[in-house]
Amino acid sequence: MKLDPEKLVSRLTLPERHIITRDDELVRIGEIIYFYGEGGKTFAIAESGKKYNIVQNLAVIQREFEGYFLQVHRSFLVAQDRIAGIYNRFPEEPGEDGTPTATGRAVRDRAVEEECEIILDGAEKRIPVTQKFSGALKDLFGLKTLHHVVPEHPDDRKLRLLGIIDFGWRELFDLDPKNAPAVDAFKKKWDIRQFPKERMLTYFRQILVNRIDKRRLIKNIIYQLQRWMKKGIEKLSDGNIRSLWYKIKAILAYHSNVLEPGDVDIYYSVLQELIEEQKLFRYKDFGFMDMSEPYRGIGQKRPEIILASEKAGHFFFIRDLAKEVGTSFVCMRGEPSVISLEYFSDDLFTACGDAEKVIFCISDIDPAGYSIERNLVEGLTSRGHKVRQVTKLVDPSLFPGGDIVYALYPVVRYQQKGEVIKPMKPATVGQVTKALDWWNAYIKDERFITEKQLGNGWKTVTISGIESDSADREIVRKRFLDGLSGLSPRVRRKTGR
Amino acid sequence: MPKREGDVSQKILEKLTLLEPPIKRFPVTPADPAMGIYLVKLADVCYISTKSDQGREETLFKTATGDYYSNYGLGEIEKQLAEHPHFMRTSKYYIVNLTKVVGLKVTAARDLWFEGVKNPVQNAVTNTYLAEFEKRLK
Repeated sequence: MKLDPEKLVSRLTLPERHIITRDDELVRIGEIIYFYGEGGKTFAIAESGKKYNIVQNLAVIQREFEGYFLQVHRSFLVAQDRIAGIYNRFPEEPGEDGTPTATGRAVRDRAVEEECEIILDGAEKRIPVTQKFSGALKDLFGLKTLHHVVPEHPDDRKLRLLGIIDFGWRELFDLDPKNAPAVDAFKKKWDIRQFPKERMLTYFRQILVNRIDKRRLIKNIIYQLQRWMKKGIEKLSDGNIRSLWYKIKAILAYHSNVLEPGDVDIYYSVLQELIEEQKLFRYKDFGFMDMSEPYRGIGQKRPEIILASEKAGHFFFIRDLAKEVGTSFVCMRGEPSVISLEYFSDDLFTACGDAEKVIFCISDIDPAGYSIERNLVEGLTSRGHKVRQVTKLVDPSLFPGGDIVYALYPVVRYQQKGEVIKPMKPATVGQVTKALDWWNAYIKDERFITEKQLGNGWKTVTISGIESDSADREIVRKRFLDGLSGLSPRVRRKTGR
Repeated sequence: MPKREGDVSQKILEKLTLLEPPIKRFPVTPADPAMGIYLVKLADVCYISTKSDQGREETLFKTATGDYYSNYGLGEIEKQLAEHPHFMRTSKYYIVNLTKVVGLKVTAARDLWFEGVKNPVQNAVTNTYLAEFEKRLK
């Protein structure tokens, strides 16, 4: 063990030395929590809470008691053994609610990365640490960052990057959901919705603005509610997605009144982010009702075979057809909703486990129809289903010859000269690109694209599609039944039916 | 003679280190979620253990007033506290603060009681570390 005798003895004796005040008092160094400079004067704050006006300035004190006090700010010297915790730093002197005290990305980034506040044993006031002095603080405790403990648990890191705090998770882990008094006490302590505004500011304050970050607040409330529902200490929602918002809003209004009516959009967006992008949980986990429940069903005989349509108008048709042969059906009414897919997927698993699925789909012959079909397939595969085969029940071959013109409708129009393309209203560039990609990838049928010369090298191009309602239902029905009977026995064997 | 004086000085310095350890605080996950880093006072820590049973692998810093957690493994913490005169590794699962030990039960391994902690830690000292533990405890 290498020891520096001088340094060691000095550190042992420094607390017993004294410093003189302007009132000729002697204060023991070991009693001083921190020094600060203000208006050309130097003050010391002692354990007793007493404030002393000191003769020397901060620079002299630091030299004199080197190794005992640490400079963390132009105006603050703190007893380094008393540093007990590190917080994010917000403005020293917050403006009125909503008033930024500093602006500019560089200022903001610096504040986020290299500044913090510290608390000291024996003092309530947090002391600011500025960029210039933060390196010394890091060195003292071997810290890589001032904002979280390193190494960081992967779960903590994931939540931190999402701006989520898992309030009281250790207590939640040990909590018995049947112990009502314990559950009540836990909720009283950690229910974000019941935090007063001041407490919310300590967790969800915007950097350099004295205002609550509403998105972060709502995100944390949703996360907490889901955690509690999973633990069984919060009832599942018995309504739809908007019902939960009113439940959140009502409690927030009573305790902190930080939300406004327009904030419902933040709520929807956050829910979408946490469920659809981050996949932290599912809509179904909240118990939200599925408004599309009547529009789907699981087959009694061959549940692994799915008859799907994007059209509400096909509901009776596909429901009755599926019932006739015992297959599952789903009427998506546009793009399949995530919540509906969650329920449908779970019902499929219950009925036929991981048996390979076969989909027969009725969708429009246009970019949107093909997208809906793709999203249905992706919605099932991303939830663990294997889709062996997808059959289009409505495709261009259903409209032979020239009679197709009676079924076509224009999807997009644009003007073209050489490589230059100008979308014609209401089409946008994006829609034209999408329509061209769709035609090239899936259609390649000249009947769906028409051109009209305008002169000067310009022409008008129309890409058309066909509504699936235009298809003869008897033919669609026959296609489905033929397809069903042509399925390999493998699918049937796998399901055991 | 000078050599002997040097040895004495070294011994004095080592004793002084007991009063002024080289590390006094250790960064751990704070109980208050608003805080980024909590610096637990090592003088308050009774023992450090990997036996943290809250559904994840982490290292527990046990004090009489609360539990704190780190994601460093015990081996890494042992390295960081190598020069700390009060802490020593006593088993695969424990590093203990010798100044906090208030009782022990002599069995094949040693169960330890710590100041302010109600329940003893069973098998806190295992055979591999027993001799060194008894030497340092004296």
